[in-house]
Amino acid sequence: MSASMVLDFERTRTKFLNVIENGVKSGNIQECVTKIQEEDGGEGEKKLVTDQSLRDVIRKLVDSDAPCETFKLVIGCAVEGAIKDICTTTVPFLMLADMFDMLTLEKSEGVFSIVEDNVSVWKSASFYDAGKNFLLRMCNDLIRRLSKSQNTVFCGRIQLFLSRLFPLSERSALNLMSQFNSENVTVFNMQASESKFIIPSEVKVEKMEIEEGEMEEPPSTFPIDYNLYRRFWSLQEYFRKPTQCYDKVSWKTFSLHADEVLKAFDSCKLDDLKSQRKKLDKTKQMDTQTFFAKYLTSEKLLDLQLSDSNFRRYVLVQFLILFQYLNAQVKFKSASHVLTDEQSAWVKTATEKVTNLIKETPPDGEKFAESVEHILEREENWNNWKNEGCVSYVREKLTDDKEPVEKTRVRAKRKRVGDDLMTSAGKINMGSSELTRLWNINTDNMDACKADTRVFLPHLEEYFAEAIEQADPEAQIEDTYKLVNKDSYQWRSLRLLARRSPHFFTQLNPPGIPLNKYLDIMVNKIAQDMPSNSGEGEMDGEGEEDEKNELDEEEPEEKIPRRHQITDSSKTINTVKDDAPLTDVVTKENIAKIAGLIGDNWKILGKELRMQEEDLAYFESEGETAPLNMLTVWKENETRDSKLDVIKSALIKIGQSSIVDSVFISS
Amino acid sequence: MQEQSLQSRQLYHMTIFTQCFSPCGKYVAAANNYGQIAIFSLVSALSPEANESSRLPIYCFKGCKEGAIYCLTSTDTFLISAGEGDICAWKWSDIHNKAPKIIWSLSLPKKGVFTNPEVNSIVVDKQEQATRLLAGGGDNDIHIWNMENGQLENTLQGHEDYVHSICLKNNGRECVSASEDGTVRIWDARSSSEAVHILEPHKTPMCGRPEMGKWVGCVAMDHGDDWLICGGGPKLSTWHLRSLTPTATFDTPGSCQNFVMYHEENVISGGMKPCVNHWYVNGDLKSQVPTTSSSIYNIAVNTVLDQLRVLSVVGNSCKIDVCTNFGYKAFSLKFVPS
Repeated sequence: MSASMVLDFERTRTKFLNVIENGVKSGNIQECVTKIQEEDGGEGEKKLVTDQSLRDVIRKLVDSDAPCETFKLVIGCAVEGAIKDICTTTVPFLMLADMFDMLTLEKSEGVFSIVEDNVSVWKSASFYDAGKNFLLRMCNDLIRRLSKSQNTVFCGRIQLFLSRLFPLSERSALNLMSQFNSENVTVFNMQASESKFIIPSEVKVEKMEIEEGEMEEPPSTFPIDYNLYRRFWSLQEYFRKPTQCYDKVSWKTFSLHADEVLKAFDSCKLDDLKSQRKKLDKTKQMDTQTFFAKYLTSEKLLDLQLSDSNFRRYVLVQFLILFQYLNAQVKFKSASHVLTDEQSAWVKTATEKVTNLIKETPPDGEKFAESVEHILEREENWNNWKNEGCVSYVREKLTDDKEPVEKTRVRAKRKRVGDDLMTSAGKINMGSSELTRLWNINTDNMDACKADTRVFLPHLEEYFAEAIEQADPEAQIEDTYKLVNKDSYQWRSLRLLARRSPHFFTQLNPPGIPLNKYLDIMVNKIAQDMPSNSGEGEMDGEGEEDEKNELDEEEPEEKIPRRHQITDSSKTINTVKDDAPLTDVVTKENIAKIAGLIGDNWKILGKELRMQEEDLAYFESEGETAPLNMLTVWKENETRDSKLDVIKSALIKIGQSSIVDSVFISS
Repeated sequence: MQEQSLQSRQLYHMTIFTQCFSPCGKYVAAANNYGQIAIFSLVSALSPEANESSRLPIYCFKGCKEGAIYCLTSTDTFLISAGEGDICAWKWSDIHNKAPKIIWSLSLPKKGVFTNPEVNSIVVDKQEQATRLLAGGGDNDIHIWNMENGQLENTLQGHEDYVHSICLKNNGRECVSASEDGTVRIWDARSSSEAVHILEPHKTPMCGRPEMGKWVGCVAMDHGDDWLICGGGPKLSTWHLRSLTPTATFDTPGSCQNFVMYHEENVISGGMKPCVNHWYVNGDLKSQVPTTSSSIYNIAVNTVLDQLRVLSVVGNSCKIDVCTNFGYKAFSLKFVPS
């Protein structure tokens, strides 16, 4: 059977028209849709008819001067229809275009809200591709009809809508070529004859050469500086078309005029009225928003303009924008548009002058200067973005199809952020080249944190080196210059001592000792440690660094048990501390006991006590008395203060803590 | 060629000591250390088509046979100049006709054969009964002449060193003088007795600057006659005349002020730095406007005509800086003797 009867276009058209109108009146869109769907006929043909009927509806509504709501309903109907596939997706846009073409500007303003409200609809996948060009053309037509100064709000709304509709990288919205608004011409009186303020002169008895001026308008009450006036406004010409600056001749005039104007700004300082008022009133003054679209260039106003801080700011910011453009790399600049060295130098000094002037311009000059700098930086970023061809800002999503499955399965194991990144072969695109580079230096965060370059804690010797030098009485450094007397140094050194030095916990202090004296003592101790460390380091050779590091690392560990001991029993601390100086010396009996108990391990102990290899060999040759000899020699040579601690720790380290317990009365 | 180099050297070494506006307000006269007086037209200098030539003098003549002219003042008809010679008077109308001649002259009474005192400052006191001229200078005295008949009416003696500057007080009944001897004396102009009051700024700790000296170079009275402002070696300071004590000082570190005036609630002064200082009366600096001359000797504001209300500054160069907006220098007139 043949697919369809021939569809009578006109009849169906009127039918659909009625259906739609009824639907609109009753507000029941669904009904229209179903009715249309029920109609006999081929899909394609029906679509055509529906399109046409919808447009007819709009025309009728416009003719009948319908209220905004009706339009809304009709458009809504069309959108629904497009979704349900009874009309083409372009038809809502066509209807909108028709609407705006036919309506007056006042009505359009009201009806535009339909367009604004449905941004999400226009942006949805089905409509976007079909409609974006239509919408763009429609909006541009509207804007062309409007006057920017009369219908500013409406223009703004349209622009806002466009910016919401299109993505950031939409080329047609960008000023790719970095062109300037050359149509913004500032008119001023170049020739004196145009000026209406020539002073009349007495024609009477004077026989000297005085020009005869015409009195067209009453003369100004105060004299006008025409020189400055002309030079000042001529600058606007350069701001309008910065490419002129690359030409040698115009550059000369420009720099000359600019220098003069900046000099006038500089010597004519503004009164900071606002802050004066603040001091008197102590009430917060609201910043009045000032905006003017075009400069007024009458000569009479120049004086007033010079003393207006807003005006000054505008001009100074214009300077900064110009300077930034001259120096910036723009892809579309021609090759000849480059500044010579001399010119760049001048631009640099001028930029500094201008920034200073901005900072001096009240109120809140400093803040303003900062904001301007910030904005110009961002401008540079945008410039670079344009130069790179407007790279898309959308961050690429990591495609991981297994994710949903994994989530259900591996609930127990918490997913770590780092895992995703590690699985993607280590190279991540962060969306911006700079961030990517930074991230890819080391994709594994944990590794990066553990890296050696991140160890910021200095070694004792390095940190105290200077203090040790100063402590030397021969250097005769005055107390006020000594590092140990500076607060910040004191605090930091205490922290370092707590982390690295064994002396921190063994040093007995009479309470209330001033900090610099305490530090002096510590510095001396460290100084004593140092030569022995460095000396033995050279002699030991292998394993020296390990030992040092081991010791360093060991000390914090060892300090912890000691700390606990100390905190446990305060009384014993006091007694221990009191006794410490007396029993700090390792007595002969102790040595003898250790020697007796140590047995064969004396060599290991010797190494631990940092005895030299040759010495140990010598002792060995002595046979039985070796341990005793070694220990005696060690005791004599040991330069570190707390020999007791040293030998104790050495014994514990080699696993002979039993000796420690038996020989020394443990506290 | 030689002429040219001579002229340029002359210009280089020129110092303009004083200036004065014409009674009509359209011209300004300036006098320099060569004894020349130059007249400039403000109208042409301020016009929109002004160029280099409109900034040159329209007429220049020699006001003093030998020596410099230190002070100029003007009455309705006369331009009076004084310096290292006699006090001479010229008619403005003659000057406009470019044919000035000395109408009358006065000379300081000579105290000795070889003395030839210069006149540093002259002031005209216009009264209904008579117009008087007061002059102070190198002979440490202030002489007062009656201008109608040219008689020396009075001499105020008391200063121990030469007089820098004088000004009038109390509608001409009193006169104030500042001198190199470190005192500011207030005199009764009609009697020849001693000074009524003597102020010594260099002796007060507030104003004294011993490293600069004790000389007082400039003095001015405010409109209400309550305040006196003076400066020089000691700091520029305002004095309350009832109590004769200094009330506020104006800080100019390293610079002695050569000239000071009150103008519309503010104080304008200039001295040994190349800038004109605008102050509030309490001593706060309002603004500093840079000038061409490195030392300033005279500042004048043209109060005759509003359209030509400019502030002009002269000093130790051949340029006269003119400011329309007192905040910055608009242009400079150049004293080139033709």
